[in-house]
Amino acid sequence: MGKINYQQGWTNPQSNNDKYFENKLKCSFEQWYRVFKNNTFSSIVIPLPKIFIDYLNSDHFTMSEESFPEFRTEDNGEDDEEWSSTTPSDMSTKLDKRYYQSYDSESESESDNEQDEDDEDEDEKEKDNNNNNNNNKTNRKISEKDFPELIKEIEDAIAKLGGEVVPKLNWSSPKDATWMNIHSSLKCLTPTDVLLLLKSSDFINHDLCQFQIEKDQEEILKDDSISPFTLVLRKYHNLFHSMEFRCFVKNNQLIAISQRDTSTYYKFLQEKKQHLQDLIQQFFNTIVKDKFDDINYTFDVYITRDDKVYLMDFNPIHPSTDALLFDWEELFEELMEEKEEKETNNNNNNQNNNNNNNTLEFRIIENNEGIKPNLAMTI
Amino acid sequence: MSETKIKSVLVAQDIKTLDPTKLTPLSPEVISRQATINIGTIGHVAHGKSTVVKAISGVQTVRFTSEFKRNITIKLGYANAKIYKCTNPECHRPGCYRSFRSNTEDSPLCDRPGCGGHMQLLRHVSFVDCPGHDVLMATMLNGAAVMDAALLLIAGNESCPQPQTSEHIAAIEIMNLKNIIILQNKIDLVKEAAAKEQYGQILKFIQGTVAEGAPIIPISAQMKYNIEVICEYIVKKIPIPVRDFTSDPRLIVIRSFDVNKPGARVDDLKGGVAGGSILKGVLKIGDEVEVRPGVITKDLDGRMKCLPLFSRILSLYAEENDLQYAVPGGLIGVGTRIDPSLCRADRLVGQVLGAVGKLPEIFISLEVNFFLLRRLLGVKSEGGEKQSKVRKLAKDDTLMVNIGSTSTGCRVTAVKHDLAKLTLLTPVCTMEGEKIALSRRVDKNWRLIGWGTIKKGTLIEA
Repeated sequence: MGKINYQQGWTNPQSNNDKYFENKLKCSFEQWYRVFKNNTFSSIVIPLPKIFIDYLNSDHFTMSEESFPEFRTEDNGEDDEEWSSTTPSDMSTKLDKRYYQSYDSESESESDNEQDEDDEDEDEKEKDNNNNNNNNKTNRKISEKDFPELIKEIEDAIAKLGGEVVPKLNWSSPKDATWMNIHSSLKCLTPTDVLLLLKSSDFINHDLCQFQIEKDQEEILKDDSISPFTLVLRKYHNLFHSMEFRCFVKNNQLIAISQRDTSTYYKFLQEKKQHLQDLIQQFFNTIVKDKFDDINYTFDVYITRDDKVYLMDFNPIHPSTDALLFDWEELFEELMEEKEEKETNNNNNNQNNNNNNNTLEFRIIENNEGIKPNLAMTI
Repeated sequence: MSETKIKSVLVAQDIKTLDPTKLTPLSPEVISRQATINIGTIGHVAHGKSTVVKAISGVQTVRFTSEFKRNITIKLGYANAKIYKCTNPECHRPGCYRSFRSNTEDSPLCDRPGCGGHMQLLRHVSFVDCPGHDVLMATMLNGAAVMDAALLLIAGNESCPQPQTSEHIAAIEIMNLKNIIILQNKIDLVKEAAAKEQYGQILKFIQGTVAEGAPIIPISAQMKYNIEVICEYIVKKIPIPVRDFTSDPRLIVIRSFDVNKPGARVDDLKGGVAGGSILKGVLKIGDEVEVRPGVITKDLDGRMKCLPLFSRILSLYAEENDLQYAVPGGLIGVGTRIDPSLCRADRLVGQVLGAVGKLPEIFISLEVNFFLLRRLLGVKSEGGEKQSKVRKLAKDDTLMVNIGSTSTGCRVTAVKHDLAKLTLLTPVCTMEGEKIALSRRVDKNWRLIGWGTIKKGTLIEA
């Protein structure tokens, strides 16, 4: 497996952390998919042009009217010009002026001033753009109409995969943005569904920080220049979250497995635990081991009702990967050492000395007590 | 209903004798099993929030989490604790106050050597974990709806105010939280004089803010120093919330899941489980309930519609305690007969569960009366004043809207003065007069820009 030559003109801003970045590249979807195609869900990889990366990076976020789904409503004749009241409410006068903009007549002139200021801001932004300042990345106005070929490609890929897909970039899926999906999930039926999720996700933003345009290349690169980023569309399955597991590999040995949905107690996992562990160990030995281009990494699997194991993802050994029911210090003490204070290190040393590296530990949630994460008001 | 395995150490609940008009947030048969007061913990992660919660509740806190995965969520039911006072008059304050885990018996022996007295259960509280860094997120306003009080953490080994503390105070003011207890944590790391000096700084800092007059307790969560004082203050300074137990019950779904083994036979299949916060009323085992908006489907003509779900409540629980009935407070799990595959992976989050035919209407577009913040809250200084100024709403803006405790996307279709029309991405079960919060993508993050109230809206065809 060769090294990635990412396209010219793009740079890795984390160049001071080369080892991590190198490991991260090995976990990029299109890298491992070539090798493990037969052991994972059907997927289509679409290389992304620079304009789409600019679109994702930009804060400008407007969607056309037709992009939102149309619902059957009780009064269809709703007029946008019709308002329930025409005078500003008296609520604003009760609000603390320190925090809120005001709308009462007195401040009408003030808001005009602000308008002027905003215009000035726009001018400044223009200048910034000319100066190739960082600003243009977050302010450039691009709409989905500016990359029709890509939209068509996404549309065709969705159809090819059976009409329902889950999107991701090279590494992350927009799991944190399911509130921006009509089905409250990652299920996408249209290119718009895909765009809404990608533009709303912090995880996707994190991926986007991995490559940036080299300063001197910024003017040379065209909108249709291919970036190192890829859009991955995977066939959607209504998975049982209970059957997803993260596996930790150290020195080419499977050392740990964790339940992935750490917010739920699944009683049945307890009795299936040994069986699942055997399945995963066998899958690792026959499919993953020596075929992935590293000796330290994590991989995620899904196990079907008929004991078939599917690969879901790879991730580097790094604090930015969630160790779930483990602590990184327990598994890779030597890699985490620098971050820890001396005294905690000593404690860990004592614990770790008792740990034989060859043993495999499988952790699941074993009761309803003290389950905390993911109990989110909003996702 | 047959009696479920009721733990003998807890007071039994009996639906036959249940009279909601007689229940209070202090009824022994309620607080034996579930929390009735929600307390937010507000503070910077580094100020020891989770250590404080652990010291009070005894619940082991969250493990090491990824450094970049910013915590933008409010975690309800994060940890529950029972607060006790020893009945022996020989036990003096604050040592006579104690806190234990939620499944502890209701009158344990006092652990003061030679006391021999029993402790009496006074409160059962649930901690709500608020976002630590980069506050204030819109979700915090959602959480405000369920928070009865807040613990505000300040690190004793730093000067006050730290920039984040100012933001936290602003957040508390915007959330309109009235009952605040300030914890001056890590007091073990400083000399007495420094602690006193900081105490003065805090007093001066909260003057004229919503936190003025709030008690300030010097503590060390790490050394478990003064934890019993926090317990005493929770009992004495936080008023018992006024709850409505007699209205038709309503619960906001915060999570939902499928606990079945893949491939389980139909007769072994368990219905879907929904976890959430009860806003009002009492939910009982055997109740017929409705979940709105329910499942969203596409009609032949391409238009979407909602199909509400109907079921009977099969089980209720709070943390690991079984319940026969549940009241507002903490996180309540509801076992239903709903098709479990519809509940998988939190798919019902943001929906409303309650008495059949008694839930609010389902809206797809809203007219709101809104107020924009002057500048973003929680902005780190590097961006500068200009960056943090909140731009006015414009037509076609795609925003995040939080309604009650639901988040969804919306498009701005028209703006006039302080009124705006919003088309929602997903239908929401809500009503006129309900509060909303608006967030916009700024510098790649969703940032709170303002809030408002629903004036009217377009309903989904029934």
